[in-house]
Amino acid sequence: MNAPLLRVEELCVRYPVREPGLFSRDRLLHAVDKVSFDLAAGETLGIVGETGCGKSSLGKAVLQLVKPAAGRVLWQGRDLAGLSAAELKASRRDLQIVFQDPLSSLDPRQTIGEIVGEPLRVHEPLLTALERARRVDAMLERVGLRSEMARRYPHEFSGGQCQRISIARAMIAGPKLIVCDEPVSSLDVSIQAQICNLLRDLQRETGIALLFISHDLSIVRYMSHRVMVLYLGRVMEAGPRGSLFSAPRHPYTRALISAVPEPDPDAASLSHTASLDGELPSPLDPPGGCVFRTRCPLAVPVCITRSPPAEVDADGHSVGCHRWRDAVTS
Amino acid sequence: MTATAGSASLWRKAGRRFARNRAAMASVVVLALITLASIIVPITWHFGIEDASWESILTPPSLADGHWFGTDANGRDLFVRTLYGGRISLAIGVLTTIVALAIGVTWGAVAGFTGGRVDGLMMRFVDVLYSLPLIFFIIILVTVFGRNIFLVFVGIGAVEWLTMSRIVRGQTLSVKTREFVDAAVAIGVSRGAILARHVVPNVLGPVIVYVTLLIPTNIIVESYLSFLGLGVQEPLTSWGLLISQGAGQLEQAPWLLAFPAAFLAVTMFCFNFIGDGLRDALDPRDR
Amino acid sequence: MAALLECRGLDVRFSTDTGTVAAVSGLDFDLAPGECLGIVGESGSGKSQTFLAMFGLLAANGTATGSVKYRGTEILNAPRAVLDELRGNRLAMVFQDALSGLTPTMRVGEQLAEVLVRHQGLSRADARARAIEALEIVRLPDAARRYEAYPFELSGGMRQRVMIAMASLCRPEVLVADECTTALDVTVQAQVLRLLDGMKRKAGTAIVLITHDLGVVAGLCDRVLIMYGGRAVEIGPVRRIFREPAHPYTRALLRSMPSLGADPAVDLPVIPGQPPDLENLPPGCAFAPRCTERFAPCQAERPALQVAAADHRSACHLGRVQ
Repeated sequence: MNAPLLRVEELCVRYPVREPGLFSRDRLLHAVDKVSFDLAAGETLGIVGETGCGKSSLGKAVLQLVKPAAGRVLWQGRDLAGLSAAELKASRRDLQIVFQDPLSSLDPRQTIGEIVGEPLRVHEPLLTALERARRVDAMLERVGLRSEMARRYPHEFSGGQCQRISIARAMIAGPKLIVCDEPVSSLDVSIQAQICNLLRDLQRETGIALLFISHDLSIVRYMSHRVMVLYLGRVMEAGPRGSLFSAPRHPYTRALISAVPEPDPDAASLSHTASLDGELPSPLDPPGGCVFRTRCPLAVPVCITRSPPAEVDADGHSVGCHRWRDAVTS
Repeated sequence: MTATAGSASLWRKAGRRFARNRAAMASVVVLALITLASIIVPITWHFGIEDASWESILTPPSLADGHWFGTDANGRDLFVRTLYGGRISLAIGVLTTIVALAIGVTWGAVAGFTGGRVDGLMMRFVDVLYSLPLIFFIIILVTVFGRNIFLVFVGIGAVEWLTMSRIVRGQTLSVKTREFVDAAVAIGVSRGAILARHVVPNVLGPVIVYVTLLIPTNIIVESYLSFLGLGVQEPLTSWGLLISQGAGQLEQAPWLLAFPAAFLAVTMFCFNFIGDGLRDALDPRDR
Repeated sequence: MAALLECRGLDVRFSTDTGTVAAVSGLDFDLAPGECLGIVGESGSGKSQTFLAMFGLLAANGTATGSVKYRGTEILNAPRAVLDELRGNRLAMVFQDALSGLTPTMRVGEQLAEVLVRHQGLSRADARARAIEALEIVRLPDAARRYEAYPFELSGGMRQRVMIAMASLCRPEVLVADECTTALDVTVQAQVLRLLDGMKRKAGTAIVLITHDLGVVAGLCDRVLIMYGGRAVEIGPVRRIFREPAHPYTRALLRSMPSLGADPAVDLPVIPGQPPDLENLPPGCAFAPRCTERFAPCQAERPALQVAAADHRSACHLGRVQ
């Protein structure tokens, strides 16, 4: 097998958090803790988890928008952290991002044409203004906008249109990977499907890989080939979409899936959802052993003392839980 | 969002909102008239600013003898001197603001965008300068270098950029967290280009408002420096100097105080109305 | 049974720089005691403005006309004294953004106690006891200690629970929950929804659940009102709406939602186009430009709500033809 397009090894992201008080030292918030995965061309890896699980930090660390504290990000076999400034800039052409807030991710003082054309200005500086405008027009048409919109400004567009503009900007220089950080979370239901389908179409046409970050399990299931579940910066479970959703192994994954409100008045009943009580522990002071144990219905003493190792089966379905076999049978 | 309205940048939309603000537009007109008059009148008027006349000392304002605003103790025409004083005052206001703008925006944007230790050092430097009282600073300058109009520029400019740099830094810090900056980094845009193309244009709104408020502040500062005898010197004049001299002869010749003070006050009003108008026009909450 | 809330011909208009925004137009609905009504719509459908208007909380440039009666008393544009008596007491509202609903400089417990002191004339000590009890009912962990906390010290889910505790203090007859779980994670959302369900079952509170999420509606509501472009397009019992939606918009909305049961290999059918521009609504049906089933009358004439089945009404020309 060829080397994967993207390989992430034991990636850690930590943020210093200032403690109140004059002489206290900064504490470290472990946003992402030893996360590893591979991503192949044309593949979508979905990353799910609740607020504060580190999924956005992971996406940004892959693109070196935040500096990883430890671990490696190998892009086509080369460690991004080891590249020179010029090499990193060249790699950025392949690595793009689409953010959650469609309006905030577009510079309000620039026209759509300038925004979408910016990657070309950076990576193909020899292009004439006319050629650049032609490429921008073609890209806008491709994402479902009209080319005359290039002269307008972001505030004149709806959220869904702004997200199309973001996607056009990410796609124009021909990237190989797009990190989609909650790209449809702030959009209306009828627009979410449009944007999801646009990303799926673009993937089919160009074979780009997607790192699809979302808290919405239904959308992740729709978009991804493989899925990774994060909790407090650690991987709880990862595997092919099919087995992860039909036979979830980790109690956290099971709780997440059962908490999704299903649009079916007969199936959906609040009373028999497996409840997950309690609050997310502070990431500044995560529980020892298994981080999920404070909310886990299956927790036993060993969960406090020992952090569960990841168990991987032949299909690449991995789970980090001492009791996952009990969870599946219960 | 209709087709006829066409496409408009945020600047143009703000301009349209500004144009609907009557007080601000009237202020622009009045200010333009005062500026034009202070440029043209001293060149074309039938009295020069230094033309003293023994026949007409301290004559009250009258249209008949050509001294519209009367004359001072040396028999010089107050009309031309007031407008000439306006020329100096406005020039000081505008030039010192440009100095403050250039230093303040660069300093603040670099500090805010770089962040970390550099930011800390740069802003502590600002704090130290803040703690020096302006007057004290200027008195030192004047005693060391002697009285000189350039010292007034340097002194005011060197102090007034501090607030500007704080405003720009604060704005930069908030713009820096917006996702379009991350998007630009992800695209591979260099740090300098991000600062110039994405950050600075987005901090200009509050800066422009502050500029319209800084110009009158600087005019006032010059006025009280001149009033204290630290600023502009005879035979040059400024509104501050004229007011200072007028105040000394308030009882014999109240017009000597009234006209320059009125011009100064009207100019202050105009700048403040324009500043308010710009703030309302640029306010993002009212989109 | 007489309706608790009776809304008739409600119009909400906003005047802006560029013209008049028709946020809500000709809205009629009833709310029965103890029922849970879901109001579903996308942003700009008028679902939130409807209730802000009822509660007298419209922005300064907004005006509301029509009639909204609470137990026979007109409350739309009612004098402040009347509204103050009802709001927070008989009628309560919980918003999406729980942080801005709480005063940042006041301890959360004191904010709850304040409501009791004002509306029910309790003594400080009694109010405190009742407030802690209310926080326990919403299962705020360590309620007595959290009483002393400031809003920023609580997580989003905890704040939302405090808001619900506050709304339920005076045992209101109507609780309007405006996207109150949108900002929350699914597991926390499930906790909050269970809480609302408990209020409905145990205290008999009528709940209006404003949301864009049909999944939330399916689990909790008895009836659903679907809004589009400021108008009701369909209203009926929740089962019937999900099983036999009569309006093309409802049908399209249900189809376009990814669900855990669907086959992910099949592309989702999408609703093409953009939500309507409320300043320039088309003369006919607001959904017509995006509707795949439109025909000539849709663009010319606005369809009225018509009975599709008992208790189920829909505003579409198609239904009339069939």
